[in-house]
Amino acid sequence: MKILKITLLIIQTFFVISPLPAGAGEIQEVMPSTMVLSHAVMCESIEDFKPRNPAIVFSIDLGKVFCFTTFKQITETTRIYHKWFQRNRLVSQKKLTLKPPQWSTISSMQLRMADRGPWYVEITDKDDTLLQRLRFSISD
Amino acid sequence: MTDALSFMSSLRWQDFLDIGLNGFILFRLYVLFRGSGLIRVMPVVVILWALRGVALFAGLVVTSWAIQGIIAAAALILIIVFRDDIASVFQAGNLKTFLWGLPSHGNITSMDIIAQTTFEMGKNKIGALMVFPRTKEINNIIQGGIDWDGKLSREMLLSIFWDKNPVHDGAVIIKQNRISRVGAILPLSRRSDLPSRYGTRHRAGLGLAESSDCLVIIVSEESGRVTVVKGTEIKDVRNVAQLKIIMEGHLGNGKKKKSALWKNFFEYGTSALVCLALVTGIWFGLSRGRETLKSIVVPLEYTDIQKDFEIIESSTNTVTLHLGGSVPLLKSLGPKQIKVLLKLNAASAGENIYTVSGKNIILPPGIHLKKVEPSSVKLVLDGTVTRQLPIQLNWTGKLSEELILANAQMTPQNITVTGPRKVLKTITTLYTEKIPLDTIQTSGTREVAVILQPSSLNVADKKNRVKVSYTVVKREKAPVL
Repeated sequence: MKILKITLLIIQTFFVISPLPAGAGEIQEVMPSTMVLSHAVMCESIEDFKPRNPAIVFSIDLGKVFCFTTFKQITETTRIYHKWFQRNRLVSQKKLTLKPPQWSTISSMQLRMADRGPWYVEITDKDDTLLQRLRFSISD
Repeated sequence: MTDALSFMSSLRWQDFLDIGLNGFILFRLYVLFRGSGLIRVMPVVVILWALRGVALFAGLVVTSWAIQGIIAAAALILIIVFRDDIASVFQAGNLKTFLWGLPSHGNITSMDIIAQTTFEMGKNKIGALMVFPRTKEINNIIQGGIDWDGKLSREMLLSIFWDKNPVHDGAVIIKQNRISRVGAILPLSRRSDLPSRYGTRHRAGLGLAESSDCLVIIVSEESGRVTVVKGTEIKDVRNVAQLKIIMEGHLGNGKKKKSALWKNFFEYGTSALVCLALVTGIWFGLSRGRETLKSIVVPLEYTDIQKDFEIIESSTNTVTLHLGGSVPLLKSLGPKQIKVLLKLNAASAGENIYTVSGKNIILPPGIHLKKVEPSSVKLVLDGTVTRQLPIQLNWTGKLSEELILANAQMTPQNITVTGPRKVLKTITTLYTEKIPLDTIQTSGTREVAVILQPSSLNVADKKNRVKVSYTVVKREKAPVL
């Protein structure tokens, strides 16, 4: 049941493509396939399948932080990864599935008191090619 | 016998040189300061030094401390009091004199004065007649004159024979470096075979010489020629050296000089032997005294490291050396006197193991190595590479709950760093210093430094600062349900 709930939360489709918000990071590499990462942002929460309060600094009091990504021009079912790093240490790697033609995915990180400091999330494709790196900080 | 042989074989050529050199220095100091007050005071200092050693040995702490203070003060006082002696030693003569020569102490013998003044008078055409009696009494032969008993000097001789002086025509009697009589009248020789160039002065000189064992020196007023007469022999003298030899022969000073030479030789030889024995004693006391052990921690020094190579890991940075040697040498031994060198010219990237042995260790003479701990050192070396790394801002503190830090842009976004290949391989991001959030109320800019961690990283031109422009937005109030 829990697995199903998480899967439902993470794999959600958005047909409205939001513009890239300021501070959401920059796409570092062009994907070799036609699949395009159109939107990637760190946010405080997800509401109505949309990122709420995108930011680069999150208070630890929030308890959770989200990484929201949207892909378009997906030609076939594929997978991507959200790799969560605290400083240069890989903390978590989340495998997410994308389905054509357009798909949004979410991953989140439960925050603990020791998680303060700089973080980043690397978004990579199935071949481990880096698509984007989102940098943020966890503050008091 | 075997012990003595093994002991002798343990001595190095450096040890002999050490003893010889210091013995020579001590001997030269004695020679240079011989006769000065400083040498006379030095035994007192040596006695004090010995007393301090005794006091220290006996555990008399305050006494040894007091004597040490006295010695220090005495050294200073001696330098001040005998500054003239010291200065004269260092100012006198050339390097050869300083290192090798024997000091003359500036004493010119009376023979030198007489010989030089005689020829000076000859040059200036000042007539002179000087008599040097030997053993026979001549008072019954000479007549007149004035008793003088004055110290012999150049000025005195010149003034006596100055042509305005009433006694200048008479003879001067010189006995034991003193002018005993002036203006003496000598008997004239009756010889008929004298050359015509000899005048009355010569005839008077010859007259006295014929009837005594005196040596008479005559300076011709007309020609300036110097003539010596002894017995019936009359001889012209050409230079100062020749005159001196004749005078020495007459007065028997040649023998005296020889005996003085032997005396000097004996004195200096004894001094040299004493200096050598003293230094040998000190040397054996210092380097071959009671042997003891000492452990000392010494940092490793790496040399000849290849360009673009860096040590990124070492099993240790210091080694403990267990050393043996005499008590005084080990007591005075400091870490700066010892070096442990590892040559890295043949090192390769990756792990290298080096054995630390006597070959890598530089020790002062007289100290020998017993053991090294650890006996080997593991070093991991890596080549240096340059990479561009992204920078991440390190926000800290607490941002106002009403605000959201929506965005921040850095200039530049990347930084070029140089460091060991292995280290840089693992680093994907460099972080800035902590940027406090508590004071942020509105959007703004600020400059922050990039932290280079680990410290083996370097930034070109020390440009490790970035400019940050950040955007703050008001948090939307959550809709009330």
